Amino acid sequence: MEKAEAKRGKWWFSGWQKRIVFFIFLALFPLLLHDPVFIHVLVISCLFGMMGIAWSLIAGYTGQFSLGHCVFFGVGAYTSTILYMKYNLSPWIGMFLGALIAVLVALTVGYICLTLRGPFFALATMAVAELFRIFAIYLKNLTGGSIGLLMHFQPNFVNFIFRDKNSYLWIILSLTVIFYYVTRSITHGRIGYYLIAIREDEDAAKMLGINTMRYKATALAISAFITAIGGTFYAQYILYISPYEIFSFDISIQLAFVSILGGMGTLTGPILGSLLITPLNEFLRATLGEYQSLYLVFYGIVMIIIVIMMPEGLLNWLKILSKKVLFKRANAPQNI
Amino acid sequence: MRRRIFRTVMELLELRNVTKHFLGLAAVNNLSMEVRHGEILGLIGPNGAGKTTVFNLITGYFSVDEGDIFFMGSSIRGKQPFHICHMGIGRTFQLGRPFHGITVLENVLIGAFNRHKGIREARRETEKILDMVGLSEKKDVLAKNLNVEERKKIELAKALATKPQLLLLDEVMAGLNEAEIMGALGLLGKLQQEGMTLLIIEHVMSAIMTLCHRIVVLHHGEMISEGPPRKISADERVISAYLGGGYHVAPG
Repeated sequence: MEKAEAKRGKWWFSGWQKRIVFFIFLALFPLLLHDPVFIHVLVISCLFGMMGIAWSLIAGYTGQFSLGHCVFFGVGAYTSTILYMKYNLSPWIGMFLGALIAVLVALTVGYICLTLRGPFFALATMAVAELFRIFAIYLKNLTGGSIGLLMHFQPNFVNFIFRDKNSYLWIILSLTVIFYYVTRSITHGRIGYYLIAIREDEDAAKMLGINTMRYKATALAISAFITAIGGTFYAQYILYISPYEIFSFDISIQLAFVSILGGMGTLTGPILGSLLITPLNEFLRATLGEYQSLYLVFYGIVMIIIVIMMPEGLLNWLKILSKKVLFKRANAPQNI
Repeated sequence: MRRRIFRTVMELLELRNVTKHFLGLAAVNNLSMEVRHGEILGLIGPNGAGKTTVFNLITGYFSVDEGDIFFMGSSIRGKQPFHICHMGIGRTFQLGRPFHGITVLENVLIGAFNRHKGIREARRETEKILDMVGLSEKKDVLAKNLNVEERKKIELAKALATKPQLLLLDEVMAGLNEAEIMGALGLLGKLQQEGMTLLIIEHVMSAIMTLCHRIVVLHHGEMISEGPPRKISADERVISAYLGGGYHVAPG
């Protein structure tokens, strides 16, 4: 194995060089694409990948299975959109205000729900999501009720509205990279270990001097912040939001899906998971969309197959696979 | 290890008339006891006597119904477990509760963060403790793959990493063979010499009798006897409640 590693080091770049090459590639990548459908799928994949990272932080690392993340998504989307439509405030600012409000919501919800454990926390978050949806429907003056809010198409950087999809791709790529590294810096330090300890055994964690409530709330707040940013991005990308789409269980489930399929408790996992299943979802919807919800049946079937094939997530599956390949290569007879 | 030179209070920990009920059943009933600086105090009694409950009360897992608990002269009643850990009480769990999915080193590292915020210092402390308990070779093993003895060791290492002044040990020797018990005794003795105060629950009588300076015997949540090992082993009530006939400490 070590030999194989050393050999790889010679013809491949070192860590930071690799990273720079990767960033340059990411920055130039949108310029190479022209097919709007392909770009759309990438944008959505990236968006869910980013929010999957956020979900992974609270569920994968901390072990708190939130099934109400659409709340934060919606708070982000509605805050920036309402501020933009009513007060003409740039969604760029609205995005951060929305994220901050989402943090406040997370801390409030967390104060109540994070005392609950396991499935009870999941149930409570689902209930909170339902509550927000009902509010969004009934507060007609603010949210447009069930009709939703439709933004006028006025392409402008300040308005966070663009004519070409490439710009959106570029923005979401940047956001994803930023939040990937932000989350990574958290999970690789003291707090990251605390979160894992809470996931593994909360009582034992307390006995090691960890204020478990505080760190669970911190993780939820950070997760909410990122998810809310995703919400604003979504609103600006689609230019239409409605309670049924935004505060929907589907969104919460999708975040869980990409993280679980990608690999729980990892940060690259959700991105990989999203790159795998979001295109699948979009493809099935496009091809089978005319038969109403038939695509969901296929989506479900594929999902089950993936879970059975890779119970530990895509990332771990790839790791095992690459190990096998490397191992084979290292042990291959030399004289053939 | 820091030694307190000027001791204003003799007792490091004091329980004053502590009572805890579970659905009308008194698990701990009007218990008053103290742990003195630098001593090794044994807590023994039959199953269900309330020993672990006492630990849970001291460390803040259970709320105290009546009475009060003092640590270094100040009341810790109603404080959260993590706060009590910050104050300097470490604790191991009876069955061992390692964080399964991460390595031995990471397990202990999490404890070390209690006193060292920087990852580098915490890591250094961790290595030291792993060395002390004899887990250095296993440091990169996932905690779920440890055997019984190693589980006991990692439990102890985690508690030690928080740098407690008072360490509560809940049956750290249960399930160990004789050689392993000798090793554990040596380690605990060393900790005491370094200035740590130990409160231990144990069923391995030979260990408790050789190690402890004093012993408190619980029965039905009440203290039925207290004193040095020799006095305890001769106490009629202790013999009938717990030790059974025919147990004697070897003279000398």
